[in-house]
Amino acid sequence: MQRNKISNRQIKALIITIVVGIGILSLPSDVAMIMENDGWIGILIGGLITIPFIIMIDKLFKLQPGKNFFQLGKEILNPIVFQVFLIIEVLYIILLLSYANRVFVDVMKAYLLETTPTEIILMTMLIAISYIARSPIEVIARMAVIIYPIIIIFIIFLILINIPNMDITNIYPMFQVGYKEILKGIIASLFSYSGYEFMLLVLPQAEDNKKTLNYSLNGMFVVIAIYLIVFFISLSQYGIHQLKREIWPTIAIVKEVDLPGYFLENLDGIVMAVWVMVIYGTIGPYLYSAGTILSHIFQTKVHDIFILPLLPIIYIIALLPRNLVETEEYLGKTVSYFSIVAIFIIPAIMFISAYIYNRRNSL
Amino acid sequence: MKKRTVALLILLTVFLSGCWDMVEINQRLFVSSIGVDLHEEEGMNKLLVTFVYPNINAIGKNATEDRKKYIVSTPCSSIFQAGKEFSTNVEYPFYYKHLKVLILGEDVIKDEKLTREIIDELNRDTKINKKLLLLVAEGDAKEILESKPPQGQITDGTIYNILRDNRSASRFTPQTLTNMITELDCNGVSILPRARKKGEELSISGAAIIKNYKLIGWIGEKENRAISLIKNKVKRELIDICYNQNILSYTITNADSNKKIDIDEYITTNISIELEGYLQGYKMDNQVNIFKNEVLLNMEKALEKQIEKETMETLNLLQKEYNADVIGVGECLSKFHPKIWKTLQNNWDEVFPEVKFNVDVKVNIRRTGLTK
Amino acid sequence: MMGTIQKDLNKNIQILKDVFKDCDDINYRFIQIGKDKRQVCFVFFDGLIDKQLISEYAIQLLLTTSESESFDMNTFKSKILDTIAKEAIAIVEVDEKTQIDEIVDSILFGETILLIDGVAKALELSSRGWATRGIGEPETETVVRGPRDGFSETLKINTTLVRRRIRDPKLKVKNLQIGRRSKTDIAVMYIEDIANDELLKEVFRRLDTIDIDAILDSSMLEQLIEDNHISPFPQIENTERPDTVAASLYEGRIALLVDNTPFALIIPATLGTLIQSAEDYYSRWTISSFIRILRILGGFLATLSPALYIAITSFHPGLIPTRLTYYVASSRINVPFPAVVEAFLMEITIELLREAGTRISGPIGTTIGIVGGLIIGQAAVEAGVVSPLMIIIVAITTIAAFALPSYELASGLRFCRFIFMTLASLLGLYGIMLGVVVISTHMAKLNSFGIPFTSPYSGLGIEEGDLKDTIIKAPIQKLENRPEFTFPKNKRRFRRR
Repeated sequence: MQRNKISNRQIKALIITIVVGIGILSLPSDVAMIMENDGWIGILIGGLITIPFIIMIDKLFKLQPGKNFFQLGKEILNPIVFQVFLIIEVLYIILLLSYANRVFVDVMKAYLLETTPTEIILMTMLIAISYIARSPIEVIARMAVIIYPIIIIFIIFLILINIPNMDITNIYPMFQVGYKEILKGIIASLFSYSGYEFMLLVLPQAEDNKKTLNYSLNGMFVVIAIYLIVFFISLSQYGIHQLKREIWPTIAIVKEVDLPGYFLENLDGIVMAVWVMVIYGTIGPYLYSAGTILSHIFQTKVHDIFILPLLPIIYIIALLPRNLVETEEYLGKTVSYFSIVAIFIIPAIMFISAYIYNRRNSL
Repeated sequence: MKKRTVALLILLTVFLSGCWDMVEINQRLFVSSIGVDLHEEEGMNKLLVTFVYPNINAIGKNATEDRKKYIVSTPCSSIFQAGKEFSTNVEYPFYYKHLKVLILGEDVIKDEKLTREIIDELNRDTKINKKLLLLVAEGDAKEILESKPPQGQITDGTIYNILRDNRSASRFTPQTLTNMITELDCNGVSILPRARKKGEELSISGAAIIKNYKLIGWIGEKENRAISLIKNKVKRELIDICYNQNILSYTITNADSNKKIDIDEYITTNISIELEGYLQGYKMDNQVNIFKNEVLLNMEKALEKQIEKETMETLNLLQKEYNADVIGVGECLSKFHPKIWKTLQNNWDEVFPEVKFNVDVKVNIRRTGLTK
Repeated sequence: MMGTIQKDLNKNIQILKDVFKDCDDINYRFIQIGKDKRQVCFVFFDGLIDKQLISEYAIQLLLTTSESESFDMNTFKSKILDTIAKEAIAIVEVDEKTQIDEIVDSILFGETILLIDGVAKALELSSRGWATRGIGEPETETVVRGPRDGFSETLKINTTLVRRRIRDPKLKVKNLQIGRRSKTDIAVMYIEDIANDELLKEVFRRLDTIDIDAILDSSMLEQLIEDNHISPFPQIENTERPDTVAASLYEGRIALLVDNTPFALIIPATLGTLIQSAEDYYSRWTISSFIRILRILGGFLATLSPALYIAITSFHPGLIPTRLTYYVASSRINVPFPAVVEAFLMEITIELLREAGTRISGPIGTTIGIVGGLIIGQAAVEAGVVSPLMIIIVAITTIAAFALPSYELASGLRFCRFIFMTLASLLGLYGIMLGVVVISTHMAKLNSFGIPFTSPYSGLGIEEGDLKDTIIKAPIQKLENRPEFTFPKNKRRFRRR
């Protein structure tokens, strides 16, 4: 009675929950720093760039149906090259997890728990994600379906509460940005779109192979829409100057909302609650994939034995930067370089070699 | 199994070593308003900071004390430093998330450097509510905070309740911290409501004009109303004019204003204001006196003329006397004519007094009350 | 193995007497029949059988028939049992037995055994009949509108109650016995052309693996066959209502009825089915949808409200409106404990009261309720040990827990409440959220016979429109298909004409 298959809707939910993560907090401010009011162009194009890669990942498994990522990799690539790829992915995931956790802890400390030691928040979060990371992939998919409506409801809520006191004229002037800035802005926004590479592990388990592409693209469009909405809301709420000043504008705009007479006065509690879920939905799957990749490197049958040994490594790396600025400058930058390799180059190489391999075999 | 027990024990000891952020709700002091005054010109402790916090013992069913609030003040270098100064003589730590009102003394806000320090401190802090309402005191902020409320004390502060109540919006315009920063970012000018003492009692009316974090002058209620009309901030308002030697009262139920900038030789700003409302009062007469279209049209014309006049006067005052772009012409330019704005941006102070204004007011009297 | 039945009646009786040594409730009734005064013996347990039935339709009839001329035992030869069964016994079910084991079992089940001297077989007369409770109103699942009959302790009556609602030869009832000593009867009920074969196979497989001495209640069986027995949440639904069982069977689920238990088990159970109640389907869809939403809210309140109280009062008073903050602060001004201690104190008190109340029924139970609820609460507030707000919170949690139709689910959440309170006292709102995500993950991990526990919210059936019967309950006309999570073989439920 076991159906270890991932349904289409779960694929969509997975894309949304994994991709929407730490990026969403600072993205509006990051792109506004570079592109001023036209930050949305960077967000939009950055999102559209990922689409060919999603198509590539999807096609990859259609070229060789019935094989999972690891079997495919061993077959179409030189085994050593493939191992190197896997190691790069693992390193990327470890760094990303450390970075995400560190940012998470800093946000938590800023808004909820001021004097609780960083170590404690970090440790509890790691223990919590190790629970989901040790479960099979269907559980992650089910969890994604639970978290994804919460994100959507939250975004709708964000729009509704912001409508009464936002100044739409703040989004002007439009189209004032130069090509150079657009390029920089796109690069700045790309990191916020990382996460769809999880499809490499999910798609072989898909229940209905025909429609996966539709649903994963759908998921990506929802993500782009979420980012654009958040950008426009924070811009119209703040104006460009204050937006550039904020570190995490997405949380800060909620603090601007005035709902006199309602039960909740300071809404940052709600944001924090949603934020824990969002981060859990992002880093849980990442930790899972690190475990899975390691289990293939070391040829073990189960992935969960690697989860707990990974935690201290992530813990130590996350605590390395002295402050938030160092986190962004060292850890954040490294992760974004790694992410370009992990989410663009590796899937592209895989696809091209699979294509060549297929050609050669069919001749 | 043993390993699990050991891990659990370690976890437990870590957790039991402290509940770091736990402070009971009755062991905090909730600052509701802060006043900042100038203490001395030189030295570190330039500010005299006044904290107002409610007496929890005097709230609720089992109130045991009469005194509703406590007011403490101390000289210090910054607002949060003041909180620490007070820790030497108050029993519990202060909690800032329920801070609602900040009153800046006249002397403080005249000093650009001090104002910038205070605003940055507040804007940066994670606990401060960014919807914090700002006021400028004519005189000392401490005196305003110490003034007696007209009727019984409301738990979350009289000043806050007066400000939050938007129905009297045009006598003063409540200004939040973020909003002020945004306006100062865009225009370099913002207005903050003015608080002053009328005898023993407190009154909030008019506004202080802040330019580049510095007080440059005051405006009265009428000017404030005109600015509110232009900035589309009026929700409900009553306007009285003299019409045929009688007082004609007109209640605005809805106001809508639009700014449009034409650029040819000069920069011309067209402001159109459309008002909806009803007749509040005119005069008692023995026959039907106003239930005629032409009478109403005349009244509307008279109202339009008066409002236009007031608005133009205010604009003149802002342009010529204060050179303060309160109504946001620069902001409008930067949004809709970004190229021209780039050339004017740096010498906007010279350009603004030359800007031409066209004000077009449309008054609609929709109802006449119960009588003809 | 005690061998076969022998020809000599006395030997057989001796064997039985050895088996039932010191069982003083067993009866041996010897009579002599026919012309040759042959010894026959009825063996049965006193109290397990319907005495009137045996004396009138077996003993009396046998005696009178054997008086007649044509009834000559010696002529029957090997057909003797057959003839007796055909001519001299007027009982519905009669069966021939040859093994001693078999007749021992039959006697234990409440059948009567007829042993005849000189015949190496025994006749089993179906005579089960003991004092039963009869069909009463279900006590834990009462409804305003809907049928009022509930299961009782007798398996036969219970299966009948279900059968009356499904007059379809496809409704199958498979009987099993589980328990080495208790030999409890278990009936597996399903509708053959709806229930999924794999699910059915899995149910039988799990039932087969059970090796235990006794099953006293269906809850024991439930714990033995569920997927994760450590989890605080139930993975099998139970009900006292035959209409709920019938409705579940129509959904393609499988029901287990256990003898001596008025609670039937329904497999599989999911989060969706655990918040459904029978009445939802008997009321109009608007009100039942509204009540569903209330129930979900109740579930959250029952689990989280004390934890939120702790988090807000001790960690983040900035999250509630200013006036409320001042009020809460003033109400707590004389309370000597931190909010955590206060909350644990009150929650444990209320759990104690509840436990005491369920143990003692009737007037004393009511007294305990009044003393506990009113007097202790009042006194505690007046003494200043707890704040009045805490009393409200405790009342809300207790009432909200009862809003959930599934007692088991409510108990699971009640248990989680204490975890949440502990987490809230350590890490505030962040701790609560960690608990929420971890417990949701736990729920997502749970399976009920291979079916995701969180269906149809996140596991199965979203694609197919199962959500129409979860948070809201669509009108019957809209619930055209059976829910997808059971993989029914036949999907269509409602068809427009």
